[in-house]
Amino acid sequence: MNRSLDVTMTVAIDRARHLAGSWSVLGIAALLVLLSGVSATFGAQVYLERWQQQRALAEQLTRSQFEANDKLMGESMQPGLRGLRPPPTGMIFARGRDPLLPIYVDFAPSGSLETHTPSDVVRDSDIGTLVDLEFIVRVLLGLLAIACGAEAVTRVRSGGWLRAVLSLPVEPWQFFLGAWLGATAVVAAVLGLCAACALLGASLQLTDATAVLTLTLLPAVPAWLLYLGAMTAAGVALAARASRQASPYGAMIVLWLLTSWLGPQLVVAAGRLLRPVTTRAAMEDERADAHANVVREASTGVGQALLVMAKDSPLDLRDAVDVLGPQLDPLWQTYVRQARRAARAVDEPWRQRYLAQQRLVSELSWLMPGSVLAAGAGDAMDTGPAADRVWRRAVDVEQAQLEQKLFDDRPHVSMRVPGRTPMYVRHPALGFADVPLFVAPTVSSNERRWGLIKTDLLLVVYLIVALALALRTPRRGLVAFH
Amino acid sequence: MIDIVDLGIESDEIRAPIIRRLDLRVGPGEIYTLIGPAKAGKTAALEAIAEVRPIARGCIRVGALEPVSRNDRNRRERLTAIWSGAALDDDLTVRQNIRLILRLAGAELPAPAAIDRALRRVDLPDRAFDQSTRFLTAMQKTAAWLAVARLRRTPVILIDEPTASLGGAEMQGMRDLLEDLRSEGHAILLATRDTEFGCSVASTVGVLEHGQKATEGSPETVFRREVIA
Repeated sequence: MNRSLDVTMTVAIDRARHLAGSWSVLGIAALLVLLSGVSATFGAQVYLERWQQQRALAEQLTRSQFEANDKLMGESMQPGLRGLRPPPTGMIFARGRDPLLPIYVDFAPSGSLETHTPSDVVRDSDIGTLVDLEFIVRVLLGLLAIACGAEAVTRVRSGGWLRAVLSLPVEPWQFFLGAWLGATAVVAAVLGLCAACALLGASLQLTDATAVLTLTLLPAVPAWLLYLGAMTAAGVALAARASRQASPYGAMIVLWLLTSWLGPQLVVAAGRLLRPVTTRAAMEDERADAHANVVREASTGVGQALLVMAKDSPLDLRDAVDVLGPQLDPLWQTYVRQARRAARAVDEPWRQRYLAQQRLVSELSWLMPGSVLAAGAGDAMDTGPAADRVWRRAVDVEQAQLEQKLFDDRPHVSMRVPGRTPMYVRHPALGFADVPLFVAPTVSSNERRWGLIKTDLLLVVYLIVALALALRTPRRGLVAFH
Repeated sequence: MIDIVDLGIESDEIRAPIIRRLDLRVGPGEIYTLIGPAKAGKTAALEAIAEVRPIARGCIRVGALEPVSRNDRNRRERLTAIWSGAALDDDLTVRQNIRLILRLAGAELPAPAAIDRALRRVDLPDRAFDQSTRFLTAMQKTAAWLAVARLRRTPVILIDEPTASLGGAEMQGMRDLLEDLRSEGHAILLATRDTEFGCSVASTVGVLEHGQKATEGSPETVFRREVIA
């Protein structure tokens, strides 16, 4: 055991020294460190712009509530009941699903309506394609990790040094484990420098000490290390098992494209192809139309009923609304329920299809270490699937509570008398204080922890598979390339 | 000493035998030279002895005094293999390479002075000790490996094509080094295409053709036969 450890550590130090002394590795590492700092600076700038936007929206919200005399206006309630989504600090390093989530939600009788910033309109991918720290680690550092793993073995194989080492009392697995450890140590050091530079870049841009103190990358570090370890092991396995000197590099590029970059996007595309769903905006339009149609019928129906009742009454029509209106409440509530059912008939199937698509994408993404890492890093930064789930759940709960308060707990009459103007609206007025106002949710630590545990476990499986492939390389055919 | 009985090796690529049958014995203080044309199976035989190539059948024992009875599974501890080109880690100096090889071999690390002494005994100039090995000649690299064999005190040394890219003066230097090691009691198995050099240093010469031993005998007999052929 001690002997194996000694051999492994000797090889690890030798390989790490070889890689750390390589000008190409040093040059690429320096570029990545610089890019990390620059990306975090831009990320912090976007974060600050989002906060400015949030402040403007909050002011607009207060103003609209004030202008409405603090009274809810029935079907024209927005933007008084708008739910704002403050930007998470983690978006500086991992945009994740942040662009997919709305910057605010308007709660309406027909359902919630999302609004995205114009720059976030492009919502083609669930996995980050922006050059943020998450992208740098997953795609660029991932490539460096495979290359370092391959380089730690290829040169010693082609130069004959591996044959010389294996003629000593050294087993192939001891050599490859050492090569993997050495290469991983170098890649981990580059990751550390990238993270430090990203934190520095973000801190310089933020200026606000409180915001700077909330910056952390620690939750993402285990997933990043496991991913880079798996990629390095894949590089070692490719170089150990290749029969020709050029083949590990060709295979390396294919593997990298599949696992880190194109693969995760292909997974999302496959999910969308196999379980197609219209866009949320199209669904919202359809839902609003379905709701409005029923409401139009309802107001006309209630008006006609009022006319029938007022014909036999000595009252003026205006007085008849006040006196006879309450008798029409049950009829109106029936219509309102119909309208909400019509809206849900559009919303619910869409939601089910969307969730099924998301589930499929999530299951397919288990095949891609890059997708797994993107989700995990997102969860670590509050921009991952956990934040998405928490936000959607909070919106659904708020919508249900509002509907309960606005419709189920309160008779509501709105009518348009055929052939006459104006339209009469009658309902007991509610203030903003009477309804539960939306509070932006924070991702619970449990929700986040579960996402990270799942990511780490999947990456451990990838690491074990890649390492097993590397360490179980047989002696046969190892001595040199053909 | 080296004992090989009924050795058979098959190629990974073509599924054809590289060595059909080989029996040989190299005693302490003896240099055995395997000569033969390219692809005759000389290097494959050395690789099989050093366990970097699996064998199809037969028995190999290295450095043991008792008679051959089974495959010797720890033979790499008792041999130093020097392959064609005598590869060293080019990122390191000669001294660092020696220390690295000794650590990997599980040998006790000698004092720096002992390493220097071993390097001087194989005629490496002092200025080369702290030089990167990428600046060494093939002869100097082979010499560094011979120093390793001395420091590891392995009873057996395998050398593949020691004269590849050596000049005339270096040939003589190589002869002297091998003679020096032989006189210390090392059993040396040499594989070379250079019949003249092989015969000039050997105690016994075996000619390998198409994967089997065609002739074996004293250098004079074999050299005469080979030259006539």
